[in-house]
Amino acid sequence: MNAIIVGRKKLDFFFILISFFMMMLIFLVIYVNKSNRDMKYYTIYHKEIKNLSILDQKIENTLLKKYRYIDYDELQDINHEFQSVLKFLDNEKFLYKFDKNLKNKIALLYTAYNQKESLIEEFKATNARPTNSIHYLYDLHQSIEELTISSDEKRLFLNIFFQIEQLVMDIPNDLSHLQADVDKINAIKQNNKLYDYFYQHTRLFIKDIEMMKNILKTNEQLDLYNTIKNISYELEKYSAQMYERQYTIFLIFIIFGCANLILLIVNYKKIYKLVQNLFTFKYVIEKSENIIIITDKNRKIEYVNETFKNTLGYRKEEVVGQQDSLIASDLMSKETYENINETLLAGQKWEGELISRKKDGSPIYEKTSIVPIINKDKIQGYLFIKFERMRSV
Amino acid sequence: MRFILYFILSFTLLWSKEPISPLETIPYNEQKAQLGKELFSDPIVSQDNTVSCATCHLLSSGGDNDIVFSFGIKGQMGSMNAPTVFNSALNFKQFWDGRAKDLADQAHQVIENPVEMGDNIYDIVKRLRKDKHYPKKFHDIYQEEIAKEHLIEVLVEFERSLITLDAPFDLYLKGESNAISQEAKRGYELFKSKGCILCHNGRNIGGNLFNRFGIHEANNHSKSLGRYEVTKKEEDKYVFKVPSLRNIELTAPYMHDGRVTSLEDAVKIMTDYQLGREMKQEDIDAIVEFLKSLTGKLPQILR
Repeated sequence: MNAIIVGRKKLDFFFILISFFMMMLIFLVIYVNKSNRDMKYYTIYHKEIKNLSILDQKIENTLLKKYRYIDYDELQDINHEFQSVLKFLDNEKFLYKFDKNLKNKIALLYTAYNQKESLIEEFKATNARPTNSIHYLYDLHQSIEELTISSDEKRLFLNIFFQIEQLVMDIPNDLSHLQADVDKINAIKQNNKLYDYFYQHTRLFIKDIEMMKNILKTNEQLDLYNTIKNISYELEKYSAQMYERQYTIFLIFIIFGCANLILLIVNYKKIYKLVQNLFTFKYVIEKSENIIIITDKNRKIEYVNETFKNTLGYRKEEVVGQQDSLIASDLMSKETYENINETLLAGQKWEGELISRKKDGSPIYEKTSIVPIINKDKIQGYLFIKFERMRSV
Repeated sequence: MRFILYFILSFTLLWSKEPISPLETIPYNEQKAQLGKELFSDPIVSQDNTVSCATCHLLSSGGDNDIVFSFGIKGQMGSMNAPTVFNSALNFKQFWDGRAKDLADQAHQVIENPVEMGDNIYDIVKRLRKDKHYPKKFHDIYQEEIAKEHLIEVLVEFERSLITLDAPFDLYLKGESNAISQEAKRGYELFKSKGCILCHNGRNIGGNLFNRFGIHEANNHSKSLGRYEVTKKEEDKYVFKVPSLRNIELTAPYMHDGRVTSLEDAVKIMTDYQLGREMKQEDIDAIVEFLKSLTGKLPQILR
């Protein structure tokens, strides 16, 4: 045996386990952080999508108020809010986070919204005219008794009033009757202003009511609501996946963590046994007949056994940290010591006889072998085993 | 007929909140608005340095001019009566045909309209950069070289500051019952009951919907076909933005084609064309009186 080789692979297994565990912990912290942020973004985004849905509902409610006074400022405010939410949603920060197709979907939302917006404009204009006509017809009806018209014409007027009421109340009726009555007014109106106004109002009323029907029908076919629903659904799907993924990741972490723990326990058991053995060996060394010295790589004494103490008369505290030359004597030639140094630095074992000095100055003859302790190709220290020759002789 | 009575009754209930609300200032950046004010009156924004925003929107007289169609560069005449710049920030869309979605869009289009400023916005930016004092003023606000967004933004900020507060009618709405005359109050009631309110409502008493001009056959003194120019839909012919009635006393001539100059005539045209009814002279007078109570105070920034 030329040198003691220590640092076998088995010991590193512990470090592998620990660093693996640390890596998993770091990964988990990063992952928790990221999914927390994702969740925050998701909540904000989803809230705004829901907001859109509410705004859409508000618009729908206004569309139900046909032929009634409508506060157009309110609609304008809803429009502005809708647009600002759309702008908020059309944000790169979110777009690529949830779904790669989200950008296309937001574009669809824009298209659907623009369709809706122009339909609302049509609705507003179409609503104002019949509503005004209702005002006019009400006033006219109030004053019908004062008008100088024949009783036939009066009946015609009242007939038209009644039919228009029915239209306003959405009672299904045959427009051709009304149209025929209105045409009668046209035929008798000549240059009379009263008849002309009445004719214009009723004529336009029929036209506008048709237009209003078309607008509301077109509205039913618009995609805005479905587009919002669709995005909302996709987002919810994404969030479900997100929860699923988190659950899986945590499960994997727990499984790996347990496995790691088991391996660490197995490792500990082995090391514990090793330590037990080491205690036995240490006892053997302490009680050995040989003088044993262990130094570091600079040959500073780290350990001496009891025999050293008993033979050379030093206490352990006195020698630990001292150079091994503490016990060298001038009774040996310089060459011997140089020879020792060279051999050891080359990583070789040195064997021979030395004369050293005890603490009281008396010489001691010893058979010595010095073995380098090598860890990962580097000298980590030296083991001195000395045997007092006088005693054996 | 009872139904219509209920109908009108439900109207009155809905109107427990007045259909017109008093004006309130909207937030704006003072520094940008001041710079916008300066640029507003500077012909540097037109191609041949002859026309500024204030050429058509006179800030001292109602925010518009008193001619039928305004003149742009090289004496070219526009096709629509210039609307007031006052309270324009409250309009739902800009221009008579609503082709601009907001003030920024409007400013940009006017600058590049060949009949108006006839310019390219990048050329103006170049001119402004070479100017003696504008670069510093813009830099004080934006800390960078003048860009077209900055030019538009300061103009818009200025326009946002042009809210005419405290019209007698607004004070009346806020509870000062003596702020307007009895005649004006009667005019307001007529304004609501005869149907004017159906289009002219809200903060700006109009400016929040489109409607067709006239219930009769087409009658138009302007080349423009209105909303049709934007949508190209047959039913949008002669459809225009319903204008705001605020400061109406100061903004003659009236209608999109500026066909009349007196408020009385304007009301008469509207009763005939839009309401489709005859109205007694005394009722017309009362409505005119009401309209006169809509003139607000000159905005703070112009005082």
